[in-house]
Amino acid sequence: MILNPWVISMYVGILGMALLYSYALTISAQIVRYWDINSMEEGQLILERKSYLSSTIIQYGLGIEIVSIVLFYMTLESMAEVIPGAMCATGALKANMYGFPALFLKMAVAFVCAVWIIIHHVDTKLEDFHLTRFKYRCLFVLAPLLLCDFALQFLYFLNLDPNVITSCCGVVFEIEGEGFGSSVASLPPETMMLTFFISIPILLSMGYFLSTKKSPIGYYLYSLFGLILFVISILGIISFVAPYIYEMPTLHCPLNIMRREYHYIGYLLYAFLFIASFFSLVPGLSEFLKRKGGQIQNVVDDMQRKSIKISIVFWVLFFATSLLPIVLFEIRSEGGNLFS
Amino acid sequence: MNRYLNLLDFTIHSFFRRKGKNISFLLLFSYLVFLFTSVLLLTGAIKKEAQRGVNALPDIIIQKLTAGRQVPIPVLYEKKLNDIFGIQRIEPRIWGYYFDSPTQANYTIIGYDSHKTWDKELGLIVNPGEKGANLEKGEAILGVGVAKAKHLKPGKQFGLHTPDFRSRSFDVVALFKAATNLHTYDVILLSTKDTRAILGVEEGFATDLGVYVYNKNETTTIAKKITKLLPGIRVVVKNQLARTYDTVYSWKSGIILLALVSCLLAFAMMVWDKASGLSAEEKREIGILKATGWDTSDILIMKFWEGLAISLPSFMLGLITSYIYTFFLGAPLLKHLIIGWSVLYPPFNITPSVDFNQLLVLFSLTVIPYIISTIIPSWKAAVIDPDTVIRGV
Repeated sequence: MILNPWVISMYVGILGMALLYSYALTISAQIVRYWDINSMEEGQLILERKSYLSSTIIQYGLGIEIVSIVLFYMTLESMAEVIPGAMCATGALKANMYGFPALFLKMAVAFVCAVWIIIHHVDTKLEDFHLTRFKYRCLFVLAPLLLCDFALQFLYFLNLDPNVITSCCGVVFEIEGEGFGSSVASLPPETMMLTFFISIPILLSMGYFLSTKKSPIGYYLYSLFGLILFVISILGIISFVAPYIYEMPTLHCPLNIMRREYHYIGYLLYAFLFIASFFSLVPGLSEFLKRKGGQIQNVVDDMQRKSIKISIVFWVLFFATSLLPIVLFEIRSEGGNLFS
Repeated sequence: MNRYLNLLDFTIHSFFRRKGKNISFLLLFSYLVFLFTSVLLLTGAIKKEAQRGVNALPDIIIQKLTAGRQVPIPVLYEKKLNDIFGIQRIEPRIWGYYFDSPTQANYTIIGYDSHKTWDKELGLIVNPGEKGANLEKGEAILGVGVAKAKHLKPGKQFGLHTPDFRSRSFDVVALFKAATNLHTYDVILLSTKDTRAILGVEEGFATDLGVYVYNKNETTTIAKKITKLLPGIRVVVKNQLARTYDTVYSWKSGIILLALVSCLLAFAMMVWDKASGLSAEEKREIGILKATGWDTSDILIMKFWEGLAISLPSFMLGLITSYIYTFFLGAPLLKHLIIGWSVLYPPFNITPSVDFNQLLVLFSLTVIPYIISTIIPSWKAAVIDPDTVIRGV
């Protein structure tokens, strides 16, 4: 068990969130059960008011969850000084079996919160609150996720043993080593670069086309391609962006790039990537909402166009940010090849 | 966007309409932020300072144990280690603590051999203009703290006792620079021979052996080999020491923060109470706003801005005062709580350092609980029915 300011601050945040969320959940249960838009009774009025509260809670919750992810990363960095063998967050995550699941679950929670906010956004634009019952049913999906998030984080810190030696990111992302990280790091960087730099223009032109014309299949494809590009980008960061940032062909750690030595470029990179990927998923996902009927069609159409525009902006930003270290390296080395 | 800005504008104006109440609240909140920040900044700085101290140590320290207690180690042990590959040099260190009864304080006496090449850097840490790199028999270099406690300055003499109560006198030839205070404040540097006499370490023995290693990655392996070669010894590895310091200070600050979290909870309760206990005037205001066409969500956004308008300035204020308290005033009171206590503890200046990580931790420890505790009260305010309020029911 490790107790330091980082860990405490994480608990404070997550506990506060859990309390509020459980309150929001009781409200959702009432809404799912008693919601009747045509009723003129007092109960319905109270429910309508309460629905404001639970949606506010989830919106704050997303913000807190994002802060919590960054905090988790920082906690890991501070742990790395204590855990033998670990030199950065990767090592700390590998220190026991709960590390990586905890990190991914946090991301999942943030993602679900964001999706929920999108549904909520559509719902508030509808005059007949057509989606209200549906959206509060969705809220129940979050309950087990949040619970697991809390449990995994707790288990992770509980089982963190400063006497167990863990592996450094140099080993996890070692070229021709064992395990998933190594196999990603061993991908040929030139091929990855080519794939990466070809796919982004394709997505952008697709987005440009869709922002002027609407096409349901196009939206699905855009989201699918956005998902693929997300995976390619993550692999790309490991296989060539990170080495360019470190200016070392053998260093592939995707977490160290968030350090101060590298001007926190990782934060920017990941923020752009996550926002861009999320908004490229929105058109496809919200296409499903159209089936709910009512006036949803128009509201969703509007939102799809908007989110495609947002995603294009952020993909371009991401693209530029990941290009930056490469360009800088080329200028410094006067056209050298990092991987030869 | 415009909508949000207009709401912000409105919030700021209403903030100043209730100046007294808001400002006293702001001050209280900044005090809380101040407490948290000071603990965090101070531990961060001390950790760095301790780290620097550890860096100056040999990579491996070998101590001899008899019956579980540390005893002088034969210098001959050095020879047995010659075969271990990767050792740069082994340095027998003679040093120890000396209780000085007139000043009722413990000093650290360190033996210094000016004939060994690696000790030549003395000139760098001793005040210039004094006798530098040579320390002959009967001469001493003092730390600032010792000089102060015994009212000495270069050129004067002072006496120390050997274990058999014989008195020896020493000339003060120089003082250590104040910049090295953390490490030299209580140090008396004597020649090796004199140190042996004062501390009673016999010829052929040393207090411990410091081992320097070429490749720092091999330290653990070399330490293991040493343990196998020499009987009855304890091996202290530098990295372990660094890690221990880190853990200890993190743990200490963790405990203090945990105590502060209870303050935080009390504060959150207060925030809740303040936010839910709307005055009749505030209720009226919200009622009128809603009657003039404001939506519930508009009021919620306004309340959000209101929360930020109080918490962000408090956060900044707390941060700045704490920075001044920690780095310019040297964190009185709090420092003793975290470092420990000792008669001659160095009044070192803490090097200012703040990083983004600390700021985020502080933010999530103070602002986020604040915001969380305002959600429900502001919702309660936002759903107020306009006609009931305006009618004054």
